[in-house]
Amino acid sequence: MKSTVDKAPCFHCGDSCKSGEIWLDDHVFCCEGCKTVYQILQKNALCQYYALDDKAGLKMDKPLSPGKYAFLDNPELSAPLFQFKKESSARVQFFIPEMHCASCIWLLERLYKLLPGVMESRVNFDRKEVAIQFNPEEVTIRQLVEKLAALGYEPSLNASREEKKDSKALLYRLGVAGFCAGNIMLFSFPEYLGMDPQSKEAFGPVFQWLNVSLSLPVIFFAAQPFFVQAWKGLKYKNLNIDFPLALGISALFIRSVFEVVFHWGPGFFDSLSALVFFLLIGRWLQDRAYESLSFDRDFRSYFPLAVEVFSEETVSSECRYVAIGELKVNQCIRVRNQELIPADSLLLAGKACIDYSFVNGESEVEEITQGNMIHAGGRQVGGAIELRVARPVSESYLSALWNQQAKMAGEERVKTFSDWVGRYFTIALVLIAMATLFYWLPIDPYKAFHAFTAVLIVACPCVLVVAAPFAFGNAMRWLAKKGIYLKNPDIVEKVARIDEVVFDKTGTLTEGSAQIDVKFCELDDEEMARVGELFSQSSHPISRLMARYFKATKQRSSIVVKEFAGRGFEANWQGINWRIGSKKWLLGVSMDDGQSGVCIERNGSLVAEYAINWQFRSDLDQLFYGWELPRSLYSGDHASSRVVMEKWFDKESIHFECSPEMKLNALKSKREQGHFPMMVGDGLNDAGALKEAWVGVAITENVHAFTPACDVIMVGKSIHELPKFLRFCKNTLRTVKFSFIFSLVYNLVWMTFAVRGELQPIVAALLMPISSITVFSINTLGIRYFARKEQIQ
Amino acid sequence: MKIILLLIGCSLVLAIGFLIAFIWSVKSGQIDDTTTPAYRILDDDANIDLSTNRPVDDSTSH
Repeated sequence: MKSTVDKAPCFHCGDSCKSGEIWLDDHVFCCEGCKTVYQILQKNALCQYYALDDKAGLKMDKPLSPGKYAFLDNPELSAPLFQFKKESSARVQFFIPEMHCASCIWLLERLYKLLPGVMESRVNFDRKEVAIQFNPEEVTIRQLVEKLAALGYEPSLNASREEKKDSKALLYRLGVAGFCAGNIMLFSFPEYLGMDPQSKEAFGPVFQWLNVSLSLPVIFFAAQPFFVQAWKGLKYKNLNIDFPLALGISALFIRSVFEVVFHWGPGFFDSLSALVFFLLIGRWLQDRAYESLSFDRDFRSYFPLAVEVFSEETVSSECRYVAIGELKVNQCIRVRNQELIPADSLLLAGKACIDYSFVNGESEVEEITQGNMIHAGGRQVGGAIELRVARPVSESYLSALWNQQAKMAGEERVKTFSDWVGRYFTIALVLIAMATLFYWLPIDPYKAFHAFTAVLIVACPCVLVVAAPFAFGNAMRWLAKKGIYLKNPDIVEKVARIDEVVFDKTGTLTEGSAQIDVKFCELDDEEMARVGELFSQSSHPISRLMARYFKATKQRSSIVVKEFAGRGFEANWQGINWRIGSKKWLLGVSMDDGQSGVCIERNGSLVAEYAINWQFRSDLDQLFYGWELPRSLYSGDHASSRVVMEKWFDKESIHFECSPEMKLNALKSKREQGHFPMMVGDGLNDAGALKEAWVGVAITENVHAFTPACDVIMVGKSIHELPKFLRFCKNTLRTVKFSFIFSLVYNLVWMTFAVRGELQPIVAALLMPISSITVFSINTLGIRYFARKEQIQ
Repeated sequence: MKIILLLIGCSLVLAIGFLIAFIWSVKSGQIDDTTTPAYRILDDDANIDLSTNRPVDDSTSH
């Protein structure tokens, strides 16, 4: 038995070299792939790569299949990837999910040293993108992609990679609003501080007209998005959050202009422009928080760009690649190991073992016999298979499922607290203002206008409406630092109402990998390699795990393996009779503690035994310590880990062997009983349940390789922060409610003066900023306090 | 006191200048990416001798 502790780390990727070390130039490598990358870098004098960051290299144990990028030779298919293309110069931009450190930037920006024909490459680290300018006469896009993949930086080529929203327009607005607000503030000071009558006469009008002209760009350029959104909302008979803003801004502006024109007073230009400026800052912060995440990628972005198509009649080795979108019914396609099935199709030839974990469930692999249907979204495990397309890509089960979900999301807009307050407050305010106007109109038209605008200004709903999104947006930023990403600020409020949490097991409470313990092993190195190859013949998840453990890379189809579903397999290879499988199947006794394990029999005698522990996350005790809400577990796996789970869950709340529908229905019935359940699961596997839950939390190891139907994305290693997350959201909502009440009382008091037409403009102008500042400070400081308390820093 | 009007004019011109500078910087992409340059500045093109982890002269290494 060898322990892995004293093994040297691989010079390239930093992993310990578990099986066999490869030495070169006094450095040790864990696999051929890592060594190859080192050689490429060494040859090109780029070894500084290793000096910049300790864990620079990316593990290269999965060999690249040679034909994977052949489709890029087809100009039609590669065309969408180009930003521009001329004869001697072309530019492409790739998204590289693996980019992670300074070394990555360094190497990617020195591509020109590795690949002649590359002129320049620039990295955008936040977006994990690299823009490459190259000469297509010297180097093809296929060579470029293959070189990147060979270095470990495989770009993700997706036709539907969405365009990043252009945030520049917002920055321009922000700049203009800031400039105007600052200057208007300057010209308003003399009015506040008081001027002697002589200079007031001389400068007053100058300052006021300067303010009027400076406020024009604020209204017509900077504040434009609010008006546009409010108008859109009105068109669909929906009083959205921008409506009170637009109302408040216009009331302020119109009243101010009247004041200046009729020499009533200085107007409220400073409040107006500062308000717009702060609103825009809020939006900008929100956009920044989204930048590194993309929630709205659709499922097509997981599909390959193109698929290999061959003709059934002519048995030629020649094949061509066709873009997924152009795939037609009855075309024959070839899908290789680890590739996704792009459309519902019938199996023609080959051994299909389809892993549907992407579409519906857990790690079981489904074997499909010839002539049967394979649904889109399945992933082939094993050799290449040949399929005939039965339905167009757009009509597949997966597309239908997706569209249904998207539709539901559109209709079901839950009314949140701030929506509710925003709406009723706005309606009440408009009613009061109108009543004031009509009361005074017959008595004193001048006073009527005065009182009407004063009501709108003093009780400006703006701050009330902005306070909640501002506070939630703030909370969202705090949470993002902890690896918890919210879809939008409203989610904070939804989370605050959670009264029950439902967990999924695989990928949520367990890590992606399992730990394999050697109980005993009498195999020598050569035999271990053979056993590894045998494991790679089988499609069972445990076999795949073991194959990875034995580092089997080659797949020899010459070995005949007889599989016994769910138990093990037999093979007679090179004169040795192997039987590999569960202890129960081989020896008739089960493993201790209901663990799963693998035994190996050579010519009838037991030679090795391995115990497999699905690795539970190490922080589960921390997660459930002091947990208050009811919790339950719904897992699609077998009940083998029931004993372990009972440590954390009540017996009645553990449910094993649940299909995705069962999970979905469980959540549905909880919702129908009036609960607000939170589902914690992993991305697409539990898509239905995540959607059905009041709040769906997707646990993921890699934020970028991620998925759709959830409200919150949580990085796997921060799962123990879940209770903090719940508490923090509750406290955030409390803070917001407190500031609402404060502002409501404040507004009511001053409104009584405004309604009577007794509020002097100058007083109103002072009251408004005081109220805004107070509400914003309550929220900012309150949330900061709670964040500190929960140690979210 | 009329001099104040001149001063205000000057300050406005100056402020507009800064506004234009800001807009230009956004337009020319200077704030598109605020992270990568911070890493880039650490790079220099010296080749590193792996046994000592010190830069070596490029001409001697290959």
